[in-house]
Amino acid sequence: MSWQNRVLRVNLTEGSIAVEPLNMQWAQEYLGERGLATKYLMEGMDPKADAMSPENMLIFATGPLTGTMSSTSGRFAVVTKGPLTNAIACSNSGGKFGASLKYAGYDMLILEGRSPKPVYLHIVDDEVTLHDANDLWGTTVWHTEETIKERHSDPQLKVASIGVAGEKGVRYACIVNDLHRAAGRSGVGAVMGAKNLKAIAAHGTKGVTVNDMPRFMQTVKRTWKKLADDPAREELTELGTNAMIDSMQEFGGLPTNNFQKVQFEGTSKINPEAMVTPNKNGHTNLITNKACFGCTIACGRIAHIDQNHFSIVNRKEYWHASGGLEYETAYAFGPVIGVDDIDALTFAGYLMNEHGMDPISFGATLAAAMELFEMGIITTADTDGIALNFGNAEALTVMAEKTGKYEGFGQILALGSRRMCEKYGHPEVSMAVKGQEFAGYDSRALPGMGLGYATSNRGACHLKHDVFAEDMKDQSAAGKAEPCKTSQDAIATIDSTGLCLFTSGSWDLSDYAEQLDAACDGEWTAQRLEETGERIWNLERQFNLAAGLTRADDTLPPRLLNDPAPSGTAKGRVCELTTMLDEYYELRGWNNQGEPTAATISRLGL
Amino acid sequence: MIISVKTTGLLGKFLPAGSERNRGDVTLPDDSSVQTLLDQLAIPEGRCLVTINGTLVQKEAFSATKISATDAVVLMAPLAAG
Repeated sequence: MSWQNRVLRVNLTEGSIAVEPLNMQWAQEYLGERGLATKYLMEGMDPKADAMSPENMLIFATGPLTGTMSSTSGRFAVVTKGPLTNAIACSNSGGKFGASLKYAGYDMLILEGRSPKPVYLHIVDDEVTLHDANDLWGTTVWHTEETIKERHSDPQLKVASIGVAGEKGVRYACIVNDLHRAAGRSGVGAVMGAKNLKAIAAHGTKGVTVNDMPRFMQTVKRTWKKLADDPAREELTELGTNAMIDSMQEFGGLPTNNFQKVQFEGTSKINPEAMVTPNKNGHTNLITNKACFGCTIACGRIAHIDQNHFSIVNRKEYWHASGGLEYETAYAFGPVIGVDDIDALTFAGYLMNEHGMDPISFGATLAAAMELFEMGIITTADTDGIALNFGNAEALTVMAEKTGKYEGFGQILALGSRRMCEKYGHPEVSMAVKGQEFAGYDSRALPGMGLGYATSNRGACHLKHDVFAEDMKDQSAAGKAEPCKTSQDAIATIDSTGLCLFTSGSWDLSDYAEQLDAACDGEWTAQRLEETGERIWNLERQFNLAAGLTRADDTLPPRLLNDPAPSGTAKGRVCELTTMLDEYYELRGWNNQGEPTAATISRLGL
Repeated sequence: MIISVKTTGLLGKFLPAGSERNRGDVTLPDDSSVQTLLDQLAIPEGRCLVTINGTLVQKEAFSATKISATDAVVLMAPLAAG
């Protein structure tokens, strides 16, 4: 079967390493990756524990299809309590690290406690060792990955590490693997830093087995073809996720200048066409696309920066190719801060990967700081002499680097938008839910997105629901609760398979079920996956309720609830959240305070 | 009449030969509808959203919605998370 049936548990306080059997009853109820790790988290720690304390657990979890021949099988999740939100954090990544961990023989890596000194974890199949990381502490993700590979003379090691941002507790620090893929959201990198864990390096050689190989390969080939034939897949391959920026601009849902506007006049300078158009120096931003492990989509972008650009003109260390613009980085370094300089955006993306930070939260926090600056609440005396006006590309690159290195005003930006805006007495300027900043979709144009943002268990997130079709059909609040709930449950289960969510535009739940059923034990059907997803969603909710969150946290900033969209297809609309929220709670089987009823808990076997 | 059409995503490949990547002129009979435009460009059903002068046109209204030469017509690739 495609579970390895082994969990690697490392207690960093004691320096102990143990292997234990995977709880197969839980695997049948929560599948793997996001769902199964949530179950281990819920059973293993007090949800009220401080996210940065040794009592918090940090779990790297693969899914039953991770490392198999299924398309996009490189996924893994990092699950913990998040320091940005004080809610459950579930951050998903691709690259090659997840498959390598699985090939080493582990479904899951559980990290507990806090090491008395900086360490990194080295895994080569059954040989698992902790190593001193004092010389790596204070260095970048890129330096760390290169050094560890050299130190062990093993270029096949796959490394997940943090930069200074994670070490210093930047609230939205991420964990970067394979140089430019990341478990990006909710500050999971800060939890790793609080544990004094610099990196995890894994080299697995064991492979993965499946229950019924002929049947598995038959369904894999069928689903490969279904994906290959889908125009949505073709768009991701050809243009990458940044294809979305033109549609959002035309639709009028592109958050601009900290959500004061919903359309950005500079879109044509940072869109996919701009990425392939030579500039005045003959430099073209995009080099090629890139796939994660086992992926037949290849939505990733590899780009480089014009060497004449102000950001790197005297910095040869950045004269190389690296991860390029995706939609969320383009949004977070572009419209939401009013910047249209494609090289500045690309450089900021490099810095996020190099120092280990979530570009969405960083960009939206900088946007809030820019609004505070233009309001006169903060001045250049606060911002190290940098004018934080919307549209200032230099402010973007300088502040990205200051935050990554935890210097100057970067220490304030490191708080995230909610804590920063509260510090300056203007919490309404923070565009976040549960403390986590919005992705690049304005919920006045996309009300179902607004409901999804408000109810997402990890704070504002665009990847935990899919109500786009309904939002495009009707921009009112009517009829959004049901597709929001249904898609949340479906995505919770897809996030637990080990496959990428970007297959969901082409596949339905029966496609995932067929692959799972051939690969591992259990009678996996689409209906069972729906039930599993609902169970996972409710368990995450229970974690949050136990952590102290309430209905009051399922809300949106006043700007989206009260200030009509100034332009676009939703001109004049606000997001009518309250109506949707009441209907959503009822559909979920929750009381009016957002708590699962006893009947719901019993029905789901929680 | 000649309609100036803007596209997003990969929809530009449906524009007439000689068009820019995401912008082109389409010749249509006078009094044409949105559906006429989509049929002429051979865009499969469900592949695009349509706005005219910034207003979203629902799929059910494609046949009843007329286009004039002065309209700003945008054909958008469907939205999805990215």
